[in-house]
Amino acid sequence: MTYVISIVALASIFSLLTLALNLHFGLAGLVNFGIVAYFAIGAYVYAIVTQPAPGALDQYTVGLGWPGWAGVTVAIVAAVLFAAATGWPALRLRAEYLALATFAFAEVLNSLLLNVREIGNGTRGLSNVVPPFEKQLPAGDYELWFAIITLATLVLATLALTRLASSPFGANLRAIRDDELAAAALGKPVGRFRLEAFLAGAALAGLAGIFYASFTTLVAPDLYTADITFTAFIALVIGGVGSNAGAIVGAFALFGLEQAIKVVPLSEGASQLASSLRLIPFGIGLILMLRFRPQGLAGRWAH
Amino acid sequence: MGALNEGPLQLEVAGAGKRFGGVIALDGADLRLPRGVLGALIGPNGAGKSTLFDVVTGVTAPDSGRVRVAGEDVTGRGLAQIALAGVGRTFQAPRGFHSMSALANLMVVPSCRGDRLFTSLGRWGPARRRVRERAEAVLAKVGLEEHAETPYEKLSVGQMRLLEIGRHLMRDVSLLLLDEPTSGVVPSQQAQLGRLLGELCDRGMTILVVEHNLGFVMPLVSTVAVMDRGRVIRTGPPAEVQEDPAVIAAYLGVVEV
Repeated sequence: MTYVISIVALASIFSLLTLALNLHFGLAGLVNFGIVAYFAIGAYVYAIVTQPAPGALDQYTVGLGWPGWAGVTVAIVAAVLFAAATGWPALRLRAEYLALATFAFAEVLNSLLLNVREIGNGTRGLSNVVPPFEKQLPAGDYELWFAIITLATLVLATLALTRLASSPFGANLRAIRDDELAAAALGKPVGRFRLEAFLAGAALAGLAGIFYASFTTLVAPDLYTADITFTAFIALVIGGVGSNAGAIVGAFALFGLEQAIKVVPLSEGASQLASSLRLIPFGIGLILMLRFRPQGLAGRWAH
Repeated sequence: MGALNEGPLQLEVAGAGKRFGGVIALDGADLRLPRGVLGALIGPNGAGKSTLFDVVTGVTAPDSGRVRVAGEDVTGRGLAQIALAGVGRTFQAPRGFHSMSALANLMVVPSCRGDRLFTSLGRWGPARRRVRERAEAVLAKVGLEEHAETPYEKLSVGQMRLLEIGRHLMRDVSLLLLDEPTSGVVPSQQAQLGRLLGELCDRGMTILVVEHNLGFVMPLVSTVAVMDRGRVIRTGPPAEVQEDPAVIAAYLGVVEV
């Protein structure tokens, strides 16, 4: 039971991240190959703001020990600021160069987290991240409540994004995605629309990062690599680019399948083999998906 | 060159030059278009007509020369900024928002409550309904009322061109530049397009049409500018321009001696 609960929590967290990616890529057409950076900023800043001051064995320099709600607020603000700093130059680029630039930003950030130990203990990372609402929740049922809160956040985020996508703002984003020149010829401030979408998506990715840090109770550079970005992209393509429901269906399908493979009872040798081969069905699934149902499981093809 | 001088100029291009690598697209082009005039810009392929449109609307900046719209110098400004100065344009290959219906293509045009990030979750329903009514009226004006819910990609090229004009009718435009508006448009729709352009002009809009279909454009316009090799070589009423030996030479490719 606990196992199922933790899969639901994890899939909900990745659904939030995939929703953020869908706002960037699906709705605004911004190819963000570095969405893990905003996810990582949310996680790290939350950890740094809430953790106690460094002890004798620690190499990090800042631990504010603030309460969880302050950590959440500061972490989301930090993700937005980082998005403003990276988006301001990068959003002027054409799609393929934006992909390269965002990928590079994420790699640089990962390298900083790895090598500048004063930020977060380098490779060792920051352990004992305190989830924002741990003290308020009944201790015995903590996992269940964490999953419920994550799921509730996912529902709220989905409602908000659905409203956003159907609003005049969403229509403008789609117009700019479809034909930037035609939108500019109508006097649309293309750069401003893109930046607003980029900041909103980064805030959501940062929120997902806070949940992820709370779930793993550890932030370390290993957990915030390009794998996260690709996982979100795979989930989005499986579910349906441009569809909020698709982002969630894709994330749950991906994590459900991955965990289902783990549950199959196997001998030790076979399970090692299975663990190294587990990416193969995803690759095959992705290719079949793109070939036979490019609009995704839940999406209408919006391109 | 002899420009029509009737009242204030809506568009003035003075000595516009534009070079792409070794190709001289514009070689000191001059154009003066008085307010409320329906004019045509004609000339052989490669004469620089579309480049002149690009320079006027800010798609590319001219290397030299000035562009003034209603007396205001807009040289070097971007496409969106010049659009906000009241300039609308269509493109040689029609452009549009291909994931949307014809009606949604129009509804997205005006600024409207709910079109910013922080207002997108608020109450934009009533504002949007007003925009929808306006869009339906414009759709009828360009003769596409039966295609409100047709996806953009299912429209014919001619319908896309009409919709492209319609998008500019959803906003405040005083100068409209149309790049080959009749290409791909069936004859019955051409007649409707002609009526629409005449009506817009009567209401004070200034329109310049790049067109190869002289049978459509000549009876419609009051002034014609002829381009050849990056310059405007002749401007005047259609009847006079058509008789001009230099114009005939440019069209027939005869080298002037």
